[in-house]
Amino acid sequence: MFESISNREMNIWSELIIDLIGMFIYINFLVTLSGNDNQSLYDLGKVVTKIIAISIVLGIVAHIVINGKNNQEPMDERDLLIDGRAAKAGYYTLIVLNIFILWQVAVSDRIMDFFGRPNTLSISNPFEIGNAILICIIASGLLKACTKIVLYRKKL
Amino acid sequence: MTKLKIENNIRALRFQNDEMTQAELASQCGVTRQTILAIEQSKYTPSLELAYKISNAFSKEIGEVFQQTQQLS
Repeated sequence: MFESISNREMNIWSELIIDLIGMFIYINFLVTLSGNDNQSLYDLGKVVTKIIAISIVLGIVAHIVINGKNNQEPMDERDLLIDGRAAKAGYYTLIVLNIFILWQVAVSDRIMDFFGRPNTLSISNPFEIGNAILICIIASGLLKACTKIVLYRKKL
Repeated sequence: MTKLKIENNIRALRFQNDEMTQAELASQCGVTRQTILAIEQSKYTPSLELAYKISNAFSKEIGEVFQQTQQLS
């Protein structure tokens, strides 16, 4: 199985693992929230900065471990095809989730009020909106990496 | 849309040509070894340009390297 795994594919696996580490850091942050919205916004900014910094460092380390001193080989037609399809999947996920957030922010409360029901998934304040957008970005990144891995393994 | 099933005998041709390795063929065609492996395993259908490059590497016509085996509905 390993003879068919290229350095590029190993890099994609490392991207997925780094995305998952970022996700766990974020979930850990959510679990430890104090409930003070103003403090939470500041902490959200800190955790996003932390995730980005850790991702960059781990990404560089992974690149060095996998590729050594060599530059990654250029993408050939199969790599470009897989990259394009994965980017498309990630893009559509981001669009759909963002439309869902806009719906929740702008419309959902009014519709639920009309039917006299509570909106269990209300997204109304900046902290909730920030978290919702961050979840979209993480989900989109994970789906893109997973799509690439699946496409490298299966028949195109 | 009907999809064609296309197979190839690249592996056999490599062995006939001084036991050419996948890496050597990949280098001649400007692709990665994994792409050649995927083509040999029929997991990937190359573009026309790549198919010609592979055929030229063996000094064969494209029809001698790639064959349509059946039409899938």
